[in-house]
Amino acid sequence: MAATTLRLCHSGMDNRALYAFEIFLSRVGPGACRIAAEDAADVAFIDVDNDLGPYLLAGHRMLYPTRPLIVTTQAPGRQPDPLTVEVTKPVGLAAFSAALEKVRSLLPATSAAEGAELPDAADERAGTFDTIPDESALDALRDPGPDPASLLRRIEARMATLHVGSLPDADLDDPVSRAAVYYAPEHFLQGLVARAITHAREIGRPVRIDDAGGAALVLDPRDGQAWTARSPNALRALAQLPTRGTLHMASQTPDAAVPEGASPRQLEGLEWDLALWASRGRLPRGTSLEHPIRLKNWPNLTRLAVPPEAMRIAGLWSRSSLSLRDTVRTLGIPQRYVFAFYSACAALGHVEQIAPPAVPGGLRAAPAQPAAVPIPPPPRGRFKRLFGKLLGPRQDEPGLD
Amino acid sequence: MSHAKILFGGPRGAGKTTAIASASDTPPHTALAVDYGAITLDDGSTLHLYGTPGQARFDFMWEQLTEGAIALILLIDNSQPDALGQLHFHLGAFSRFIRDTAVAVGITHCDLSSGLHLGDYQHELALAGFGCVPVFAVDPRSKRDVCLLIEAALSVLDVTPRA
Repeated sequence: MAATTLRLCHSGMDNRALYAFEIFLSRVGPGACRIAAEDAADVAFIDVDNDLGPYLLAGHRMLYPTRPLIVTTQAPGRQPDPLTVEVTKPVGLAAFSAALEKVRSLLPATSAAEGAELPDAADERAGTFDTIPDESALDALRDPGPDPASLLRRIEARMATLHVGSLPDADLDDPVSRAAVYYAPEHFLQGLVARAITHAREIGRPVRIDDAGGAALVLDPRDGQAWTARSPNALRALAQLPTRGTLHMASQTPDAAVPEGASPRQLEGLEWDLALWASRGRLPRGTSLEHPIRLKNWPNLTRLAVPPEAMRIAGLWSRSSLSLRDTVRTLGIPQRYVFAFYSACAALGHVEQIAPPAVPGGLRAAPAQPAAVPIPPPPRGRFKRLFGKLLGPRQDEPGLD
Repeated sequence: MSHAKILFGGPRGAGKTTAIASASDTPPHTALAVDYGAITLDDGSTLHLYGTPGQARFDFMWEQLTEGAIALILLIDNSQPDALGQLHFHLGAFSRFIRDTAVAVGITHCDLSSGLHLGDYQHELALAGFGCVPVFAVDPRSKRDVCLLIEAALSVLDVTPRA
């Protein structure tokens, strides 16, 4: 049986591990697969036992929703979707060859690469590398270079566009440009879900949201749980466009089954994502650019998507009350980063705007130019190196490309 | 080449040792009841992570360990019946240090107890006069969780524009 060469990208191996992996691949069979760039691959190879593996897996799935993935693990059984093929460690030639065959069956007919001929069966002769070397054993020998953390940063940086859009900075003093930085949450899935949650709380029962394909979401604020019957990418597509009457709220009897194939997630995380996707770097209509922001609570950023610069924005707002305009100026970052983070925080009730005091005569005082509350500053700025080292999207950091 | 020191505090069993091991680039070790690990930055600088001994009988060491530190990571075990009391106790013990630097609170073992929510801890911190403090649910075994917590503490300190 002839087959084509699969293009395979890996999840951040260093040079030494990659060398060993290529030797392993050569033993799978000449032309069976070859290492390719992430954006040109047919299949990705991810070690989910690595401490960053689950995030790499989630990120890869978000960026490439139709790409088969081969994941290696010591604890199989977590297959998250039909396009993911699990291989139990230690990975042997036969198991890896079988995984490649499974991947071939998952690819569209025209997807595999250049048409190189693949031998009928993998060569199982004994050799130096008949299993994939355990990368952890090579940690001590690692050279600086791509590693899972830097790869995750790259993936998150690219995913950041999904969270904050790509709007360029607007001239906030120009009324026309300024109008473009606003959106109406109530016209999006974000607003419908917010209304549905309020309604569910009032009636003490779950509420369902249907789209053209049937039940899409079930929201149950009693236990803070949501059930989504749409893939993350389909949900994002739903959330980014105005609903225009295509989505409907429906009551769900307490004993009704959740939609078939629906997966659970925290309601808080769903609301956060929907706000980011609807906002795409814009602000809820009616938000003042001049009123100071008060951060009431930090969002639980270990369990939520972290938009670019979210930490620095939250850190700034937790120390001083700055307006959105001054936040952009103080941090020197794109408006969309600040606006998207504000929109998501507002959706969860973590921020409020402090209105200036009313002046006599029923007029509002002119928008203040609030000064940052002076705080004894430890020697800062040096931490940006650490921010680059730690995790999270770092779109503007050098060295990502 | 510079060095910075981060302190990990909290009661025994909250996950300090595990958290330091998760975040550390080097094999962590324990000496004289103090956990130690380090994160090496791209320019060769080092972020030193010190875990205070959790038992109150070692509290005489806590103040010494704050010497030269720039932030406190406080871990609280949500499954303990007196988790809020533990929060109060450690806030009191590190009060002066926190007010001069920064603190981030990691709530561990959230899966083992549904009694308290993050909002309860945030409310207590505000009542105690510490303002808006980052409070995250944290799995100490997760490098990402621990690094995000460290980053949150540092972001409270670092408010200057990027060069």
